[in-house]
Amino acid sequence: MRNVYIVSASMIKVDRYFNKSYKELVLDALTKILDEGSVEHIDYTVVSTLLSDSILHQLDLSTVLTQYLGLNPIPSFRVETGESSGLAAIELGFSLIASGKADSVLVVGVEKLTEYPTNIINENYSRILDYEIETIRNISPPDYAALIMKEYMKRYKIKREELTIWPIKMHDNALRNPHAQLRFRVDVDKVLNSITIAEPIKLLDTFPIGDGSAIILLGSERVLRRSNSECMKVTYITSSTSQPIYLRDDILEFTALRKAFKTLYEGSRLDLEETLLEIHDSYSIYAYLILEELGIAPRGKAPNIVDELGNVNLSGGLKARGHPFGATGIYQVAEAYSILSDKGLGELKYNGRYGLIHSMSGPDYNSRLCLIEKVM
Amino acid sequence: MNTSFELGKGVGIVGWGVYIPIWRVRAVEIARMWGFSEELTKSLWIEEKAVAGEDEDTVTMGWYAAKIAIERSGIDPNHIGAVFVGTESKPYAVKPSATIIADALMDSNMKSASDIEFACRAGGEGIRNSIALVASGMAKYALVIGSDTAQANPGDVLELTASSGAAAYVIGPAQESVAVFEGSTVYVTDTPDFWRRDGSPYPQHGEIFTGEPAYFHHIVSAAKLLFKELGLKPSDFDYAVFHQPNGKFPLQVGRMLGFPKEKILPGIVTPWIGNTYNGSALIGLAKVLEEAEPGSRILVVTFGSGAGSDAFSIIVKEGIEERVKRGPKVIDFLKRKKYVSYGEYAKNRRIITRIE
Amino acid sequence: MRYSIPIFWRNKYSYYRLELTKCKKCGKVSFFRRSICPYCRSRDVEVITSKGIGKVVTYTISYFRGSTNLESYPRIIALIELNEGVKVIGELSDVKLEDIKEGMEVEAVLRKYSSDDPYGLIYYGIKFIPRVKK
Repeated sequence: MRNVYIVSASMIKVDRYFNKSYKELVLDALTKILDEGSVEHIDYTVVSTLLSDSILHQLDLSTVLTQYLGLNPIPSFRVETGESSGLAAIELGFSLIASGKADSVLVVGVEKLTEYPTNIINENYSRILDYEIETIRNISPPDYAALIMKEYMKRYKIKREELTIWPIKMHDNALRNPHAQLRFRVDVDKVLNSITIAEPIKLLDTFPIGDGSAIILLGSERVLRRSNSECMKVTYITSSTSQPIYLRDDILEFTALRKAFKTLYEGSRLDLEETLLEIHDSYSIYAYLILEELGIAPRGKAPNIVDELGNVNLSGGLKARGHPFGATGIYQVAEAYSILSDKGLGELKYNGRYGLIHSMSGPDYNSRLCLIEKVM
Repeated sequence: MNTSFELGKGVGIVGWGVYIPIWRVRAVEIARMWGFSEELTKSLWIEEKAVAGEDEDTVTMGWYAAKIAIERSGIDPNHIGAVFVGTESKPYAVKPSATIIADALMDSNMKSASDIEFACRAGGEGIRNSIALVASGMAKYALVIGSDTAQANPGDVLELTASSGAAAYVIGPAQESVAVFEGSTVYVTDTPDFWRRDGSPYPQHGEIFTGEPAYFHHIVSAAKLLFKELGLKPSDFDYAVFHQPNGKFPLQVGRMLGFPKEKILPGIVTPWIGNTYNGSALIGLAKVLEEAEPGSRILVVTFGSGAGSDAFSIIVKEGIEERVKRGPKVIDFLKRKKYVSYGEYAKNRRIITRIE
Repeated sequence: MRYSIPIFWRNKYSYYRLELTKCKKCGKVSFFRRSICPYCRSRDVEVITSKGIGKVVTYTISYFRGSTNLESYPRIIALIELNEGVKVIGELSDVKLEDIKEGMEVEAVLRKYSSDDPYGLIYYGIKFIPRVKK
């Protein structure tokens, strides 16, 4: 397997762009990379977008996008694995280079969630679950987060107020992220008084609805040598799947994440305390479980350590930076890359060697991990 | 002409079940909403009515009643040769409710199945058809369901009583029955006392016309025909169960026929659950079956607008108590209740106009 | 016509009756009619019908609006353990919000899941209500 590097990354602010189509969002995100002149050398584009079939009424979006951007005859793929599509797209791009099939892959994440009122977005988002067994029977993703949160509170005897620390921390972090959708502080009262989504999940426990686009340019060793921007190695990329909630023995276990992390950890012997982390906090309760699954906190103790965390979701996470579904994974990688880089990302900078990005769909129906490494 | 089936010991009721939704709305609240004086509810003898929840309809209620009836009967549901759903609130104008309920409860495909419409007596017609099918040998058992989410124009006096509920009967050979049909008559005319045009969400009715020329005339006629056919009189009966659009009418028609109110009261349920249309007389009958002693003779007379009445004479047999115990009873459903406001009832019953 | 006919119809027994799949190889039972065991991938499976009685393990009151059947909110989604020892996910009905308790006994009933109003299909299926006492 050949080495794969992140050669460049770019993103736009996550926001509501009623006056821009997905094509224009991608073009805006692509601007920086285009100006660097690296686009001449692209072998493939891989596009990650989740609801484009239904909300944008667009099939074969990767080809249509390629045509619009004038990138033809470059071949393209569209990848979809629920909420983790972004990392899946990077995994595909990685594989194309690692196998020798390509030298340079443009991985594009784009999502437009403001094309329809929220209830239609919600209806489509619920299709990341099994349509026949779950969706058609009126089960939706936040319902599972609610059941998990209740079980967590019961098992570890944690009070509801104690679980508000995650959104508070995320909103705090986002103030330093120029691309974050939500840039205001929250406190315990604001969180607990926000609208109930599925009790005890509140609006301020979960991500806002927004549009976004983020792009990563992956390259081989050959591309790295020709590049004049800071490059980082994609050391590991792995993913796993798990059972639906009702087939699990313990609904507080994220076995897909566990499996993916075990593979990655055995290969890398990573010290997470010195690693920059971007985890998939679609719901605050998931953030606590992810931290515990990664071993950063003992079971039931994650809320206690959140306040001191100086290396997790500096971007503000899905909670405050936003969650434009298909683009999210790319945002996470672009952020980790930028924050680790010599230049930093606005005020955000992290002095570390490794960045670990976690993305998942639903309650860990699939989990994906990407490890990036500063090239010394 | 001989208008009754002289079935003797041939056909009876093997099992029965009812379903009444848990939700109740108080009649005085409906009266207050539309500016009726509250004494009206007393004069009709209606206290509260059962309303189907937003996820319930004729099919779901009929399913539950049928499930209990089958369990109570102890038979293999795949031996049911016919399924009839008597209803005037079919969820589909075209697509039988009977097949949905049947496929949920049995695997056999070789059965008659249809929805019957004759306002509130469709269930009664279903029972008559079933008696014929069983007596002729065309079906070993027949399942008859009377189920309605009764409609009434909001603000009309009918809204005080129009309610939701279902009853189901497994009709079969007398040897397997705990109550047998001694005889049956029917009396049908073209009488436009109450109707609902295709596409209309609510019915229209002739108010006082629905009384004497309709309800009273047909029930009395069918009952008297039955008395004549079987050579019986009111004193031969222990119970008289009538279609009950409110609490007062069955007492009135019973009195007209010569029944004391003690024989009528056990079969009256409307004051607490409203008029369940096709469930009305059949839920009343179920309640009586659940308390009658073996050897009792029960008169049941349905009424459906349009108009017609079926009259049945039913004799209760030994062993009924054991079968009563096999499932929830009418009184269990009467006790199972939670109140909703007029607004919640209006929302659940979709009488608030919305667009999709 | 927004709702599919065959998607629902081919699974109707699973929707109308509480069907479970028992694996003859590993012995595990899973919710819904299946052709392959989701645990051990064996194709040697049999479909059984639950008696429909169980207990609420945990539940949520969900205000998440994703359907056009607006009368149905809020929904109560519960993880239920059936007496057969299997867990299922489903909706509770016939309850006022303040009456729901973890551990309460429930029974499976046929209700409407949703309908493609005003002219399309009605999807019926199993939900759970507090056990009706005899």
